[in-house]
Amino acid sequence: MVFTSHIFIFYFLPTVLLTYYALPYRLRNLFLTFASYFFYGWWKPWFVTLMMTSTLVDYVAARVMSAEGATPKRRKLALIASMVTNLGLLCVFKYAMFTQANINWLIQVFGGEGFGMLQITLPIGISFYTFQTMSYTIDVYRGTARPVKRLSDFSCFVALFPQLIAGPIVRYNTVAVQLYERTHTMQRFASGVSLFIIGFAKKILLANPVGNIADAAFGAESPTALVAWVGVAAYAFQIYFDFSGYSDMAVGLGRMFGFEFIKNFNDPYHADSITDFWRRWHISLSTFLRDYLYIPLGGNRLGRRRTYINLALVMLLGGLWHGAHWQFIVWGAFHGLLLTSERLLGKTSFYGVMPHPVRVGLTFVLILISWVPFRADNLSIAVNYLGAMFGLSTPAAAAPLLGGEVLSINSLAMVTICGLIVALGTQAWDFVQNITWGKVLLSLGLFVIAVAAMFAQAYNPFLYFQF
Amino acid sequence: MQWAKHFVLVFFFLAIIFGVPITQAILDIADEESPQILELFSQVPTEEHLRQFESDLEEYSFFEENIRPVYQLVRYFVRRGLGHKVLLGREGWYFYHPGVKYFTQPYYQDVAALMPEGGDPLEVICDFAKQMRERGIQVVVVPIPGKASIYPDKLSALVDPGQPVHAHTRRFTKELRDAGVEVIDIHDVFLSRRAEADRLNRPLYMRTDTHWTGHGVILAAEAIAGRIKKEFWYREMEPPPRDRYERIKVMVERRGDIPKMTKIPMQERLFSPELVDAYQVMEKKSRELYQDDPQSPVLLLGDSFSRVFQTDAPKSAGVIANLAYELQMPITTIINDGGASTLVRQQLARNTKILRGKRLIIWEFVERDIRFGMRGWQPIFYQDAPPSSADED
Repeated sequence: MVFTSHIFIFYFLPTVLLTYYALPYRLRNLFLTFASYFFYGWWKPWFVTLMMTSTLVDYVAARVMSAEGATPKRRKLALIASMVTNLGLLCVFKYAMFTQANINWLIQVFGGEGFGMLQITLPIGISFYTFQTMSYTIDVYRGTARPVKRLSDFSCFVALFPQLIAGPIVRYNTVAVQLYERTHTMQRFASGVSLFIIGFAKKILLANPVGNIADAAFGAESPTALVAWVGVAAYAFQIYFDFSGYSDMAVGLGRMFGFEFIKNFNDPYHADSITDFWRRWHISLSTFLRDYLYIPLGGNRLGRRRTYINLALVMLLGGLWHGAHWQFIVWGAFHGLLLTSERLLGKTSFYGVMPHPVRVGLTFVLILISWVPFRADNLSIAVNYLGAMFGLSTPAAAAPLLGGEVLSINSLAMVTICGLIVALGTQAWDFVQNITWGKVLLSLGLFVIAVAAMFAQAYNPFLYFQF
Repeated sequence: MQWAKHFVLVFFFLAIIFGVPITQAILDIADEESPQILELFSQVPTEEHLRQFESDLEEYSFFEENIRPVYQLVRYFVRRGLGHKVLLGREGWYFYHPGVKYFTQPYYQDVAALMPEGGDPLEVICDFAKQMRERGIQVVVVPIPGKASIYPDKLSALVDPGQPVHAHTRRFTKELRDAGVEVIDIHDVFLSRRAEADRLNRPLYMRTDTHWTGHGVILAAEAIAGRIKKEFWYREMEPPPRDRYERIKVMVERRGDIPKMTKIPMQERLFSPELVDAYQVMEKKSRELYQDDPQSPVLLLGDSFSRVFQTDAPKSAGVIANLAYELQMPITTIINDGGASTLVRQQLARNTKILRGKRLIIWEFVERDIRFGMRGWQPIFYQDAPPSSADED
């Protein structure tokens, strides 16, 4: 189910809120679990069984690890069982087709025929919930988290619908206490409502319209340089408002049910270096990768050379986490290269001596370039698009026609509005800290407009659903 | 006081999200129907049923039905928003979005994802031409220029008037010809006459419609007729076709099809109709408007470019009637709006008797249908087609 849909806003959410608050406290987690399964199963009912499997395996694994008298060997076996199950699910559902396509390509290079391609549908949100459940078993194994007693509580943590599909990636440690004891206040509920509305408006009123511009530019045969730059800027705003909008909605919904999730974005396009960007963009993923991959690999404790390798490797895998396509690997490698170069220069960029606004501008340009492989359907399109941006390719005969679409007053106004909102740097998270009458009116007004716009828009799922 | 702000925000938010489904249920009951939401429990929750339920829920929502047009109207006034099907051009010109996408996106053969449903149009056309050839009927394909092909400058100021943008159609035409299929390319005719048409203030296409004007119709009819007149059977027809039809110029007030695609309410007030020249064809003797003849040796398969002015006002002024005028003989037609890629051939397959006595099939489709034709390009096998006149000879 999509947050920005009629069924969610007007049927699922009111029903779940009403039932949740009508139930006694002890039954609420159980109810949220079933509601979340319903939410998840709405797309493909049988995929709920995958989530249940992952939940059950990790619950049992943690119980085994923490059982009295559990030997180190048994604890390790339990952890391995959890890893194999979760990474196995990811490998089968997310990477099997990619692996097979590449094996086939290799076989064909050597004159063979290759195998018939598997057709596997990627269960939405699998990358998010498998990471969450793994964080739980790893934390229990490390002894930094106490195992959950009731399966219903753990199921609730894994399936919790507000952040299930596209994050933020909620680590067990951050919500462990809330699973047993959370407060429901009017203030928290109101700030949740306001956050939800802002996220909803970001998606419907900004991300979707500006996404049409990006789609036109990236779908073009060979655009002009100007169209290509406007197109990638449009995409940069689309992915930011889309993904941060989803995160705002997730955090907002969480607050309505008494949970507090982490802040996933912090004004990322005001970063003045790539290192700074990763402190501000998809914070729950970057901290997850830091704590569960970079640090276990040795982090910066094993010398400079190893630090660079670790950084590059983590970004490469971060790219692969986004999707089983070469363009995501290239995107991760590009960021890995930039991060490594900044580490080499002492955690500053090669333009670090420039004034702050210039640094922010140059970082944004690097981010724009990195979004090209991320958005393009394949590497060949990405290369062509980059060529168009830098005037290295000949525009197609019909390329000037795109001007009527991408460079129309409407489109440019939309990109400018997004740019101004980003430039202002106001974050939804800060906006809801202190709710004034003006903010009440603005929130309700935005909600009515966004709902009306939703009625007039075609189905448009969140970009991060594909990851 | 802070509590009051929180309360108001929460109260109105809940009022909206609870109010919509409750009102909908009351309206359903008032209409003596069970509340729509209950349908969810009446079927096994399969993926298909859930999608259908969600789609129905939106389609039959009182609020969606009533708020959507208001929003579309406001969007139009605030930023001339026209929805995803329409592009706003310059000087009051409007364009159908897929018709522009056809040019700006890659050629369908270059990107697997752009291949039309059913199959490769090139192969399907070649197969159709082959099947007809086996019946002694020649097929001539006419890709009709879309509006953006001839008036690209009315969409984007970056394009010069008359600048060719139809590289994909050129490539398709060449590939068809290389495969032995005859093609009449009327793009060059239109582009070369564009400047003159501008000077005389006789546009070849309508501003608010996807189709051509009467002037465009005549250019196309002349080009197609010029090709048919080269056929030996035409030149040797007894009695020679002449003096059967006459043509008169009529002005027709036409509301374009593009505003309808925006679904904006009050279109009659927002988009003024266009006064368009059309050329109506009638029988010289009886003064009756042109009528098709199923016995004609020429069959025209076509889309709305054949239908416009022909079956809608002023009638008998479309490319069919004007082709008949140029030839001075009636033709047989199968036309289907947007369906020239597959639907017209399916109609023909259901009534192969129509092929009896045919010498030539003119198959016109607007160029964007190479990618976006309704139902794609389905291969069709024609069974038990009766012998054509050529066979009988």
